[in-house]
Amino acid sequence: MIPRSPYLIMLWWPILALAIASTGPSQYVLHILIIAGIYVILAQSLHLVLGQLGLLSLGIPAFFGIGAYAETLLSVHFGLDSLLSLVLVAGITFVSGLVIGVPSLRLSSHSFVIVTLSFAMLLQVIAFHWVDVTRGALGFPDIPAPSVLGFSWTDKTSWLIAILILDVVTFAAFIRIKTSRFGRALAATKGNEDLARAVGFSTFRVKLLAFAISGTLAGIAGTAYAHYITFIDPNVFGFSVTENLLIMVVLGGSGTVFGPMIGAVVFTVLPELLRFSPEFRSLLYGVLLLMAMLRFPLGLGELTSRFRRKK
Amino acid sequence: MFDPLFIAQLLLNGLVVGAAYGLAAIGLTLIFGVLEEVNFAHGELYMLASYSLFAAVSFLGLPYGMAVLLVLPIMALVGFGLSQAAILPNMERPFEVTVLSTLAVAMILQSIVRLTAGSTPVNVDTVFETMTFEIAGILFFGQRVLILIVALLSIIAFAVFLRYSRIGLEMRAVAQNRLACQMVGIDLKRIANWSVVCGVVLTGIAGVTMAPLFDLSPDMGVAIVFKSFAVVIIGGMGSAFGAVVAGILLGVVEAFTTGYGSVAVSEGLFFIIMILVLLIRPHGLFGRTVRI
Amino acid sequence: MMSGAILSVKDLTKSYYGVTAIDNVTFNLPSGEITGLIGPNGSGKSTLFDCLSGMSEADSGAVSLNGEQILGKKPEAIAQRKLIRTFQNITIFPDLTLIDNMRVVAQAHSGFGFLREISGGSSIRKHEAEATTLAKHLLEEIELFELRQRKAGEMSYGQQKLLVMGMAMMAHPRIVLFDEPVAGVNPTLIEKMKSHIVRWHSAGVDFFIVEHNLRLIMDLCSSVLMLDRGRILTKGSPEEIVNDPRVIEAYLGGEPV
Repeated sequence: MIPRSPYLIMLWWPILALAIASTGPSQYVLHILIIAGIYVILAQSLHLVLGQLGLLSLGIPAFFGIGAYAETLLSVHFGLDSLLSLVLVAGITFVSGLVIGVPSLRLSSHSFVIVTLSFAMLLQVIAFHWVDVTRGALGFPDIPAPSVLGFSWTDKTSWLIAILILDVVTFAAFIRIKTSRFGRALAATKGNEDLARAVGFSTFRVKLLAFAISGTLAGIAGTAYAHYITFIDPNVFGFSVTENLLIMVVLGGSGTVFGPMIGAVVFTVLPELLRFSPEFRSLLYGVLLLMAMLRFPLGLGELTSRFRRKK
Repeated sequence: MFDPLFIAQLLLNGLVVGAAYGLAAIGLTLIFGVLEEVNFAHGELYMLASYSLFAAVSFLGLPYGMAVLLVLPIMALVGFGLSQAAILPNMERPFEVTVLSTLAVAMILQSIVRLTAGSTPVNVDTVFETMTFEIAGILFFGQRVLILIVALLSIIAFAVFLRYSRIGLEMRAVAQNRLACQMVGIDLKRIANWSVVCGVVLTGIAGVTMAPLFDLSPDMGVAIVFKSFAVVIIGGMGSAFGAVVAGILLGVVEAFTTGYGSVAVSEGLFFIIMILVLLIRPHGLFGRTVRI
Repeated sequence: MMSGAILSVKDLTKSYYGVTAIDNVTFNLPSGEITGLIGPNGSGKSTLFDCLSGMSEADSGAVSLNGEQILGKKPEAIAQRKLIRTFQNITIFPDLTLIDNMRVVAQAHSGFGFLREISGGSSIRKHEAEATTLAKHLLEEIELFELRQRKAGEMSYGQQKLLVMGMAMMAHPRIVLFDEPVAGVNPTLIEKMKSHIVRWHSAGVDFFIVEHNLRLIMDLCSSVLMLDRGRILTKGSPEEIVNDPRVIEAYLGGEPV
């Protein structure tokens, strides 16, 4: 499941992306690659809870949005160095993950799904109405370009490089987590939670940490999104990101640690290549998801290999 | 500000909306109570009913009543399809699988509506909308009164069905102890189909009665499912009675907070109350002993 | 509370849905012994184990482990206090290898925080090396060493039951609650399991064993408790228990065989 030297193998994505970029492609192609890069981070975020632990958290947009808004506010009001604000936002979303995770993880798995989804929607409502801070439905246009140690950029090629660096760093951390002893604790918690507790693990803490890390990853993706798209509004808390992520994580090959990466890239690029309209893509994803659940729920390996059905 | 007429008006509005919330939520809680599955297509089914009504009224030129009579059997069929495609195959699997399946159906339904009807909001007009009458200074809008009557009738009819029919009995039995029911030979598939179809039809009734009140848009299901979850959780997952009580309570609360406060507060309130209920009393008001 | 008692239980009561599963159960497990727990199905043995190990919350009573009150503590907290409990049903981690099943138990008792576990470092590596050594040693003892890299879910029933025993030992337990350790296992393997228990006992581990296999109870236990319909029917040495007419009646409902 985890090949030798995964850190090397994961470089397939930046190498491929840079190779494409070096052929002098259009702005559109670069844009797609950048979006794929952002989804690579988000897919890791969902995978950590859904693939790794079997927790269906539909709350990823909550952290994505917190990251986006936090970064925007820090950038617009304080003009911080983007590396610094990235670290700050990571901290903020990590804490948010703890805050949201503590009550949510205590609930039954049914309630967990509903509550995590509701947190995201509540944040959308707040973002919509707390106009003083978030500018409500108007959102924030003209978000300044990032500035790292004095170096700033707006062109897409630089953005691609920046995103790829972020991808490599986050995915390296992701691999590290999965291959570490904590990753084994995650596997034990997922494989048989009662046994994990009987053996001595506080599975609540295991889940909480994974949930918080997942939130942090989503928040990091949000910071990149904010600076790249230069516009955010309450829709960053919306469900459309989750739609894409579910397909990426569920269909992205759960037998390998690179599943989220492959899923993110494939399901960002493919719809564009095939020129699907957003509605059609949504329709297709729905059909694929339904089929996946009908045909392969047990074959989705990490996703649903539960030792005991939690009902 | 504390004008009794204003309060009475708010109360009435709240009751009307609340009854509809309750009705819609029964559909959701029924499926959860009997089958322990969460139907994430709930909101889109409501939306589908509303849009089907719109299509029947606007394109087929049917009067409201006939349109409803056309839409409800369609909803029953859709419910059957949902049961076959997303719920029955996954009953023995981890429930997250059903969540994802029903979510998939939701995505499919919303896309289909977008592709056929477009994303701009549309409107349904019915004859009841223009009817208003006044009693003791309180305005009664025809459509709203209709909603209240239909909701209450549906709830009563369903309660009778649940209590006195054979299928209703079996549904209640399965809700209590699925394994025992299988052992005595109750056909689980049949019960599952019935539960889902009933749930979807009830949701559909809520959809067609409420449709004329607001603009319809393909993403309206999102807000509906959110509110329905809140109602179901507060009322107690699996309790139809709880869903009605919680629905009416929340409808009234919503009316008052919108009337005295703002829409923002009432939207957030649903969620906050739900979280509080989950933390303090996870069974909700009337829920059965679901694992916390 | 008796000094020299490792586990002290007083007036423990637990009801489910109006049915009293265990009813004012009181006993002491002397330190350094292997104690048996027998009783017909439904007598409350598993419920008792659940309450002792923290999986279930008793309604009332007191349980103390080495003098410390543990009633109401979470299962992981009780496990950390070196009371390890196994389950009747298959209780291994199916997707982990045998050796990882073993090592993960040691990991749970390593005392490292999870962030440390992620970042790694020399003390983590050292602990992991020690855990690996112990795991290999134990796997050799229970004759599963060759299969150590195989997934636990692929093992046969008997092999999984053996693995469970090995996993319990990885925690350096003070007392192990074995819930039907040899149920459904073939006789040759049963004899081997008995010898493991004896060997581990002489190394200082106490055992509290639920079993229907009276031979095992007779051979291993120095004292036996009998549970019937939630109450302690009697306690005594294996010989006394087996000849006690109340025991025979409860199990067989009639004349001694």
